[in-house]
Amino acid sequence: MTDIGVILGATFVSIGALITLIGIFVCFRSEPHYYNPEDVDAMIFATISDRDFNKRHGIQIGVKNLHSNQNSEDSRMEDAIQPASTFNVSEGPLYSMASTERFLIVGGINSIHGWLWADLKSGQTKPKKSWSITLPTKTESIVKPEVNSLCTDGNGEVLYAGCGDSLIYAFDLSSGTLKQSYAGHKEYVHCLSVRDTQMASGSQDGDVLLWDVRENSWHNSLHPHEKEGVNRSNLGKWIGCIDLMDDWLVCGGGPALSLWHLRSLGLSTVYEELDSPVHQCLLEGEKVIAAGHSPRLIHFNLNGGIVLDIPSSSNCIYSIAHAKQPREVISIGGTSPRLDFCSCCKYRDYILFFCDSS
Amino acid sequence: MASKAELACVYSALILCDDDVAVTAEKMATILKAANVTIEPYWPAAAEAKKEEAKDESESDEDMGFVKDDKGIPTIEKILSTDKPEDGVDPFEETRRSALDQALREYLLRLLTKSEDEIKEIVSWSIDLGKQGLCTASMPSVLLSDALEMLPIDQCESLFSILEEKVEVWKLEPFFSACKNNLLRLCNDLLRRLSKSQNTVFCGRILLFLAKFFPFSERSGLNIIGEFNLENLTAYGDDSRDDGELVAMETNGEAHEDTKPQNVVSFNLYCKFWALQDFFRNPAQCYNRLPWKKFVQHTNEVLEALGSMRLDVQHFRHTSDAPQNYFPKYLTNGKLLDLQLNDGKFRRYVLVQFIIIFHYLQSPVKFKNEKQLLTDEQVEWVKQTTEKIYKLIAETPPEGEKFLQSVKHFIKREDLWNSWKNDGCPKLQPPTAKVSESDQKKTTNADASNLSPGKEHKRLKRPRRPLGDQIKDAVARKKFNLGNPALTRLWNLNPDNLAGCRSQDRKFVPSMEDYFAEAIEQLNPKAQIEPQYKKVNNADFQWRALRLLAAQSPHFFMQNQLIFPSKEFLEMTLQKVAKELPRFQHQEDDDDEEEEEQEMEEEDTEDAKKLKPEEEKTVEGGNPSRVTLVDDGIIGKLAPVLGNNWKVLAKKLGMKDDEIEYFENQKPDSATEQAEAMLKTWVDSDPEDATVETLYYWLEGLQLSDALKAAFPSSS
Repeated sequence: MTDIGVILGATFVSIGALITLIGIFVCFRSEPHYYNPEDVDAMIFATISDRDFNKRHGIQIGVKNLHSNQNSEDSRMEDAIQPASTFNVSEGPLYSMASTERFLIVGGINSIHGWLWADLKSGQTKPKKSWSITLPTKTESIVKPEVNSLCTDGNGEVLYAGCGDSLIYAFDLSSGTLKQSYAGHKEYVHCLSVRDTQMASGSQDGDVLLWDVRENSWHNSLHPHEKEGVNRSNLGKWIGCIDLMDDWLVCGGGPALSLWHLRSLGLSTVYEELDSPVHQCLLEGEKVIAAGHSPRLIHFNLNGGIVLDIPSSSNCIYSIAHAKQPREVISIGGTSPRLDFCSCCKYRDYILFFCDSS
Repeated sequence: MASKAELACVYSALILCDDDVAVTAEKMATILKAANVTIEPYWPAAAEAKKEEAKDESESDEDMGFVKDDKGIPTIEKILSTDKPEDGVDPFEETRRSALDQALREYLLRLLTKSEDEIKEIVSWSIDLGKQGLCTASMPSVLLSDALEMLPIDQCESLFSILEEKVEVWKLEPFFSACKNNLLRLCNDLLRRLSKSQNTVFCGRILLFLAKFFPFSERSGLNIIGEFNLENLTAYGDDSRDDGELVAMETNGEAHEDTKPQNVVSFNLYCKFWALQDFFRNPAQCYNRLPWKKFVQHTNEVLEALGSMRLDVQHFRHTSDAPQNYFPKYLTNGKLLDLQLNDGKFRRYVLVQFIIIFHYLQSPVKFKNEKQLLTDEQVEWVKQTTEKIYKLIAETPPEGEKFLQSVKHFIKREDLWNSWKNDGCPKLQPPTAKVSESDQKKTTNADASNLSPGKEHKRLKRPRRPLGDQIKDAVARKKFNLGNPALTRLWNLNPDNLAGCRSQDRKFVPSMEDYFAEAIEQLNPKAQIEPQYKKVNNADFQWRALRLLAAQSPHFFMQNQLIFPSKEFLEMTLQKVAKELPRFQHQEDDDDEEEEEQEMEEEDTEDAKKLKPEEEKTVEGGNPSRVTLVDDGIIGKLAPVLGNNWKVLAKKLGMKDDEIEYFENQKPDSATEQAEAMLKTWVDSDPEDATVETLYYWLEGLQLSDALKAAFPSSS
């Protein structure tokens, strides 16, 4: 096991009905002082500036039978698993991760890489990269933008990437070509959420822009930091996470986690319970799952009441992944090298960490 | 060896028997004759007698060959009556007693097929006999246990009522020590026979009987060394393990539909959760190292899961009115656990289980092994976890905080219970009122609080005699005890309240004299009674007085009277009544003249209107002080005499100059007419002050003696 490490992303794909393949990308830190837990962005910049640090960004793939019934009574909650494969992406640090049925997709600086899950499943220790997309930035630009957020549409055909050059790109996954780019944010894009033709994006400038993916300009905007009760000026105005579903949108970051009604663009609920910066949120049916700079994952209902309050081994949570098939699993990753699993979304029942492969 | 004659008799009897013919001596003789057997003539008769016996024996399930019961009762009574005088000097007492015991038992056997009432009767006899010392004191219980052992359960149930009815008898001395064990065994045997789910009522009756029968500090039901019920095993897991394996196996096949519902609590937690029940069942195993580790791990995980899942307070608010159900057992199916964990009551049970085991682990129990002690580290963990559990209980709706308080309270009580047991279960002395030393008090209180809540309550009140006993006494004396001396006295005036209400004494109307006497005395300023203590100020008195007045005469409430508060009105009326009624006259006479006058001026003027008849009488009587109102007659007499003096009088009567001028202008010709008009206006405008007294007073003051004489001829 590596003693220090931050899990920035985790994702799943299932192998059989019970066994789940987990892709995790971990940033191993050699110099802890670069990390400022108050703001993810500070850390991202730090990773860019430190070459040594960059090299150690890696992806680990592990296989865990999450629903093993063996030795249940004696099984321990905390469990070490041997990574099936560990590999680095040569170009530098990684910022985001996404998964379709076919691909494990990772966003780094100026480029997006894809691996076939099929290759990873086969247990190769050094799996081949399936494809790579370079962002269509102007060649004369000195600063190469990072891919902060990755999101696919429901069919896994189109990949949306929210990037450090304040633009959002849409790529056709079958051809790897750029379909469209969306301009509108004034600062780098933190987060993205796409459902059908609706897209919402949150940025460092504090705005939430609403798009129709077929149009290249935004049609509506929200400004949570301008809203009383949502604004938390001491934490900044950046929007760190966003999710939308049907008529509802949930977002948070510097401003408090809040639920908005999309048709009226009105504020519906403010979740004040989460009083730290919010780094991740999910909107699932009747509940809002959110976490941030506190060691707890909270499920709220739409009215603001707490349904679940799950403790986490990380003091600051950067990644929530929610798999629905074959069974519901939520993983929680953050500043701790341990990845927490809630295999029925109600309480934490596994804590996993990778043995050091080297 | 049977003689030939005997054999012949037997055969003949058998032949008769086979043919279903009554076996009699004559018939036997006939057969024998026909068979050409000669025997002594007495044989058939002897055989018949024997046969009777045999026949009775063959029907033994009916009456066992003994005398029939209708004959049996007198025999026992005969024994009773014949033995009585010899009692005490009988050297064969012991023998006699055991013979009687045996007789009773055998007699009972015969009664078993009869109705329960007869069995009850014989038990009652045996009690009587036992009281006389004629049979052993344990006999009634022996009879009962014989009967209850042999009867089917439904009959036992009706027979059991005799135990309940005679509970006071069992507690009396010759019986208590003798029957105690028998009855206990009998009850336990019965309980063992009964189904806990089918015969709940009967089980309850038995337990209630035992509770009533045994003294409070009886230890026979006590788990003295605190053994655990190790038989209470909780089975779990098998079903879902099969399911799990099934699913795992099916995954190997190709087509597999995951029929398992989502969101089921993982099998892992499920196993851990129910595995904890084994620790709750037998907490002693926690003192071993390995089980303790397991226990800690499971506890932590279960508590974390419980802590993660918040219960919807709103939901419970709605359902809190629903009837309270209690489940002694829960199903352990894995599919249910998710629902169970979301059920506030289930959570409470589990959390309280934790509290109980933690309490046990820490508490000093005499019968614990010496090795059974927690290390400091373990104690620390227990403490922290207990705090966590308290928090969880408080969060669990509905009314978590309140529930937590009660849990803490009961855990405290458990400490007292433990210390009582550690002290070797000392007998509980009913604390007497004389307990003066504080030490003693403390111990008795501590003892008392060991007990069930109801008893404790009773015990603390003991110094004043239990209320129940007081009431019992009162009922025995056909009185009421309402717990409040005043109420008790009232209720006991006539125990039959309705009859009391109907009694003629209650139908009376007090005479005015009687009723007002006190109030009138109080009105006298000489009595110097503070206004608030006067009877007139009592609302109750006011109301009754008004009713009484109304009943007496309507003229107390004339239409044209002014409306006063009832108090003032009453005072006025009372003054008047005092004067009217002869009984009070002498009192008035005793009073100082001046005071009387003053009073009259104050009061009677106002009353004047109301009592016109009397007033007129007094006018005629010529006593000015009695006159109250100026009428036309007086004016008519006065006006001509006044002449021009009327203006002076008018000024004194409060008229203004312009008014006087007005009168002058109205009737410029005649001073008499002017005076008349003035007086009339005065009477009209000031009906309250326009009294004869005022007039008299002013006339006197103005020294208009002529006018005085004219108006009040009698006063001079």
